[in-house]
Amino acid sequence: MNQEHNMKKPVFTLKNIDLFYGDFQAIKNISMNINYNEVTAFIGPSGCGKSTFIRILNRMNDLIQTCKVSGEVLYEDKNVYDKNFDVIELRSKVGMVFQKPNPFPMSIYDNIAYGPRCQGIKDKVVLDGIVETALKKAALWDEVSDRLKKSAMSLSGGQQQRLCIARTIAMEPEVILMDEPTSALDPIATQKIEDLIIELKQDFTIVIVTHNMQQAARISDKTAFFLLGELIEMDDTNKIFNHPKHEKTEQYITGRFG
Amino acid sequence: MKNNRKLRDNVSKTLVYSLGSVGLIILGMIIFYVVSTGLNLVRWETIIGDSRTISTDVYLDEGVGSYILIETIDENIVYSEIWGIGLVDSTNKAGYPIVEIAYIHPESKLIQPFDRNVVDEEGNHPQVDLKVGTAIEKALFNNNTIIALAREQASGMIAKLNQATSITSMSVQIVGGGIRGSIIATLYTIVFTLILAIPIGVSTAIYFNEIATYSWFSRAIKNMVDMLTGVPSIVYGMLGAAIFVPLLNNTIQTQGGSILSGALTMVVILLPTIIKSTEEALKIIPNELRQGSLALGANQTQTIFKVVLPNATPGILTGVLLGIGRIMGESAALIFAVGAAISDRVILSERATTLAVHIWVIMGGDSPNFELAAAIAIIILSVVFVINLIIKIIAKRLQKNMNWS
Amino acid sequence: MKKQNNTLPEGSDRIMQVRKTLVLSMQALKKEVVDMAELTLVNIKQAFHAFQHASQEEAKATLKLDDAVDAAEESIAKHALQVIWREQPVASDLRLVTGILKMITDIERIGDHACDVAYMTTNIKTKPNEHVLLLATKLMNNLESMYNMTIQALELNNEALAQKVIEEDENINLVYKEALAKITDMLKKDQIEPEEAVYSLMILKYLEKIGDHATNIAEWIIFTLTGIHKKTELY
Repeated sequence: MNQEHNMKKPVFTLKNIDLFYGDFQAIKNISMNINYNEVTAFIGPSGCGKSTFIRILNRMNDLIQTCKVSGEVLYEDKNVYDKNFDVIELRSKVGMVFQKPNPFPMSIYDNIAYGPRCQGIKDKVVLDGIVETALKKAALWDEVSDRLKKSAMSLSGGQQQRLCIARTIAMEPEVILMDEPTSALDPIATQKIEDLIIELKQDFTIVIVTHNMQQAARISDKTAFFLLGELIEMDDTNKIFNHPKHEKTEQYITGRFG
Repeated sequence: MKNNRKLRDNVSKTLVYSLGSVGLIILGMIIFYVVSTGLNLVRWETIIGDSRTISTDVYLDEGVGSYILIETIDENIVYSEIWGIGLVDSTNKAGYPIVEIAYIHPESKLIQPFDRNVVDEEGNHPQVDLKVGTAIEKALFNNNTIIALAREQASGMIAKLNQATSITSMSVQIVGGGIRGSIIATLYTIVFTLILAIPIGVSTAIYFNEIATYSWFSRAIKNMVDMLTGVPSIVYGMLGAAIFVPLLNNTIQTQGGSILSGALTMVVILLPTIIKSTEEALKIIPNELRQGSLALGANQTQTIFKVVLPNATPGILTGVLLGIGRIMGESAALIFAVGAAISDRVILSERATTLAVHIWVIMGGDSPNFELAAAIAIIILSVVFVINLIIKIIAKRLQKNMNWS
Repeated sequence: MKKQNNTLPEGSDRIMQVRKTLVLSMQALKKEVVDMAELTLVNIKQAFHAFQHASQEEAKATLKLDDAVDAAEESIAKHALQVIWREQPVASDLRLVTGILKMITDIERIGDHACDVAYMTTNIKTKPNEHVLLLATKLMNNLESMYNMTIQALELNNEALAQKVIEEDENINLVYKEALAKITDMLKKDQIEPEEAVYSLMILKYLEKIGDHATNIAEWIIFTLTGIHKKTELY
């Protein structure tokens, strides 16, 4: 799944994004780029807009009636909020993993085959292959290969989250969005997923929202610091954590304010 | 101070216990009365028997044969090997002695003799089913040359029968009191109601809960549906009589009420319930599942039919089962919309009674048949009880499946 | 690299005092370093005083003072490590902790050199030559002022002061060269005992090295403030 793209061009270009919930402005004039094969981390205190912002990338905030987005969101040079843009297609290329693992109450196999089946793939051999590949990429195959038909609800929390990641991978997306994927998990499960993310970076572009700064420091290449709906600073992770330019960034990452 | 408190505590406890027991006692007495009255009649014959008591004359031109008994029968039965029928002395409800059929040989032609008094369109006489319990008043054999009367008792009749080569006319009273027709009518009503109510109800609930969630219109509809669940069903019965009956009369040429008009009326009665149960079942499905599906690139239809609906099925089923219970118990509405004519041969476009209406029919009038009514009540109660049991089991399975933690 | 203090979003000027343990540990750590530096300054002054007055007792006493300096180095290293594993510091906290770990090496060397001066003094049994003394005093004054400035720069987080310290090192080098030339000259003219000349030169050399170490310290101070060491961005 290698990205044979011009590595200099970003996969997402966002310009002057404003987002309103009714009268309340949740995102204020944010512009940024997301690059291929990088892990970009969004950090910031609660309520600063990072979860809202990441949902702009796959138009999941369409589900909220009162939500209005303005500005340019270019995915591969096409504006995602264009009237003619195929949202379903977008979501199969830009996948999402949520904070609380949400496997469907079906078998492990059916969970992973769900996406491909929705796209019309029926051939059992093809589906078997997709399921195995996805589970292997998500470092879950060894643990569940002998019980694919068992219910997904019988897995532990960490396994369920990896299942959700496998489910997303089965769609062969370009970008995987993760909204605080480890905040509901214990430290060992968290570590497994962090290791997974670092591996997945080779094949996918990953954007991760996290309130755990050490996590952002450990796994991301670029870090963006959000505060009250604004993008305060975005730079290489090592620059942010060694010598941030903005005073508020420094105060946040050193824990002087939350 | 302490004693005062203790006293009050004891008094209120006693009050509660006694009131509670009163309730339980009354309930127990009702059930006991029903069961004791009707248990007798809860027999196979009742369930598959005709309702009407038929009095007619039958004839058989040929039927003589050799019908050897292959099983032992009661000593009181007088058996004719020539015709394969066994008679016994008995008394009818008024206390007069009668002769009853006690046994018919499986190969005997007397199982289905011809009806003398009825001729159908082609000039043929239809056959009548004789069965055990049929009373014989008198019989004329061999072109009226041999006469047998009930007061000659079973032995006398059999003796005369054995001399006969043909039965010219036998006056019989085939006891009815069966409820087969009503059971079939109830089943038809249930099936047709559900065929219409489930798709309409589930689709409506899906539309308002999944698709058009936020418009003022859908909120108005939801409120209306809530109100409609409380409307007394007799109002719907009026509706049925006023709208569906004439409608069906004009379109498919029914005469007055029919099972179809009853089913349509029940659809209207059940829709709010089914919509409500479906809605509740859809609501408890966590939004994260829908989001997860959409995030994988599924469209809304796929999300609804592959993720939401399968998981809502237990809840929908509960609503359906409640609906079935309601159909079985519905009386007034169906009396208006269908009519109250008990039928033994149930046709969709004609009148028939459901079990509850059947109770109403046999309890009304000069001689209420408590026994049969109680028997039907037992049947209805058992079905409702079983339905409730099934609902509870489904609810438990629901809990296990939906345990997200 | 200046920190930009642009217009901040509304409502963000509430600064809660969180991470008290981190704040307090960093404060304590810094104080320990300043104390260690001041201790070594006292030792240098005492060693020079012993040289000035050719006092054997004072020189021997100075030698014993170095134990405290070594102990201070170990203690600071221990506390710095504790901050790292306990608090996982980032950004300026991280720079300060790692900078301190580097600085104490130089401060400890300064302490050692003060000892070296005292030791040399025990070899020079007589009062030093007046020319030598003159130049040595000049060197010492520059050094004292420079080291004081270093300690101040550390205490006050003052980048400008630290920068000045680095520039001052030039002066120390000049005075040293001057003293070297003078002593060489005196040797040629037989105006000074060769033994005394050698020991005095060594003392002057040690003082000059202390200046170098002070410069190192200043460079690390600048790193803690800007992330840049000498000319390299360490990030």
